Amino acid sequence: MAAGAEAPAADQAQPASVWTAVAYAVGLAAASVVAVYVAHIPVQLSDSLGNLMQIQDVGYRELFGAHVRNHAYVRPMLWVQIKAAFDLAQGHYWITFKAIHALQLLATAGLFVRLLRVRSFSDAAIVPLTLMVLFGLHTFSGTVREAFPVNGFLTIIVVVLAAVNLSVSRPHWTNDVLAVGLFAFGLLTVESGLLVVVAVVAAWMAGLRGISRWGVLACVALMAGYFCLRFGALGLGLPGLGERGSGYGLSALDPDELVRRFSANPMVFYAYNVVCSFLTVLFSEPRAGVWLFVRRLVEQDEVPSWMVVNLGSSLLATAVVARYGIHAVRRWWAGQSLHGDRVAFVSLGILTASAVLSFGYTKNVMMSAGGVFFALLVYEAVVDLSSGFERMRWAPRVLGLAVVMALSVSWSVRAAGLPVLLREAAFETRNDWATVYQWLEDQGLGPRMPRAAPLVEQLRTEALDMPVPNPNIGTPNFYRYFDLD
Amino acid sequence: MRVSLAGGSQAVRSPIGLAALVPLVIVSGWLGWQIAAGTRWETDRLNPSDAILFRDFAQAVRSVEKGADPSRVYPVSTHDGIDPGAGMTPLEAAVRVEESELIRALLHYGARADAPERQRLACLALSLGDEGTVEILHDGPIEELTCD
Repeated sequence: MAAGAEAPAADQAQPASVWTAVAYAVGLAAASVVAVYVAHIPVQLSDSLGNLMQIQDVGYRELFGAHVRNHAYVRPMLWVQIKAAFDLAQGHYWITFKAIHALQLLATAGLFVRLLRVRSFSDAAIVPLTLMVLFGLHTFSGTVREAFPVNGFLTIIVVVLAAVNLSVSRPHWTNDVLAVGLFAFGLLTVESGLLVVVAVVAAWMAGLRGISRWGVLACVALMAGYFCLRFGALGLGLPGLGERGSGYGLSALDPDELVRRFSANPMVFYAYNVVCSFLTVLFSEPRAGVWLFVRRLVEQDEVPSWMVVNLGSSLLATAVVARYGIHAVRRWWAGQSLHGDRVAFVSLGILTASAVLSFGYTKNVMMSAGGVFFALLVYEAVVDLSSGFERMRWAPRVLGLAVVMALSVSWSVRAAGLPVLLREAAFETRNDWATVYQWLEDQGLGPRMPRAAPLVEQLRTEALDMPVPNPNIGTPNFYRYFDLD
Repeated sequence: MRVSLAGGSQAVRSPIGLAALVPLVIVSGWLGWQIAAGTRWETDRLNPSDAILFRDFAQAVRSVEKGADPSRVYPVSTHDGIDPGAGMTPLEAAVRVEESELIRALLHYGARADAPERQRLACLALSLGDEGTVEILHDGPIEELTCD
């Protein structure tokens, strides 16, 4: 895999098998389970109701234009999507918003499984573990626990997965058109949409030719045009240092403290955020820029069981990925890269770029796309371990089996925590609606009430009538192994 | 798209695959069963005061909207640090869980407390460090609140 060298004919896709269908079935089933729990979360109050009240009486063109000129966050397509979902709902808000969320989850699972290229039992057997990593990573939970009408980060995951799928497909001019369209759509939804061009360029460098050279150049040109427009013609900047709080060291700092410490040299803070964002996917530490485990050790506090599970599972996964990385580099050096190695290269690029894009502040969900592609790396790593198993001596074999079993158990526990986390999110969100009118008063949104009153009352009624278990009653002891933060 | 049906004996020749699959099925199956069995998709039927102590504010507010008296004393379960005694009003329960927005909501729904009761609850809020609630229940500056 020399940079830009096309994948050899011998590495072309094998025909699909029954195991391919099994893999898709498992992926879609897992996504469906998550979707069921997501469906029981009422529409979120904060960052949601205010947006819905804003878009009620605004046209699409006006909405797009207003948010293209936003100083810090240029996300006009996200607002257009919210309005489209709102108009599509025709008063049936909960079912429409949850249906959109469920479709996004199913699309994520389907596009992800396609990249795994499952063709045999040994591949299919690793899919459940991979899905546990996908859904169990703390970076993923924000894409499902935050019950917005349209979750922008999940949209970006779908868009980036779609772009990589185009790259691994047979070349066709429609792939180029779709790639440019996906990039434009993603970029104007959330700034993380830049990951699409990273995926497209990395895929080209890895020898994947589903998108032609012209498609790649078009995406790069579009990116250049976006930067010229944003920072040049429109004179829009980036979010400032004091825009929001962020973690640093052993604690979270509020905006004023961040400005006080880093206004003279913000690059130190930005570099810290990039490194921490990368590390949080690999080791589940730090979390949102705060070194929680280290803080426990420093303060000689008890380390909670969930933290041990998180750290242990991530250490094992990263160790297996590192081992695979050595093998992949060796194959690349010998000019014998496999398809999985190329996809792994793209995954590493997306993971790294996700971390770079998180320079402004750290938040777990901002690494959600990076986390999805880390799961892909874990899959390739375990497949690599499996394919080399027969050639190993007995000691490495035993170690390999033990590591995979430990991975399997630990990530099962992590992923099992997601439904519990979603139930708790449902309970908290429902509680928020109990005092919505007091909240609206405190937010100064009272003047918009006359026009928005029917919307607020309907969402409130749907929320309060939602059957949600109380997590404060009868919590089993084994919940302490779940990351419910 | 050609589809191959190969793979039947591959299970035996894929120890890594089995190592990944078998423990996962066992662990996630057991955990999934436990979690699903404990997921009762109906709202627990607690009285407004007990619901508030269990932090189910939505159920408490819904009960009041459907006719439950927000000023009545309800029996409550034992909670950490709270003596159930002869029960408590939803207003007192909201003070104990330090939810000032909920207190405002209950007052909006007609929860009544006479002056001595408001002073008692304000003192309770002050002892918990909840100055926001003290400001709601006590007319005048916090410094003027007299507590035993």
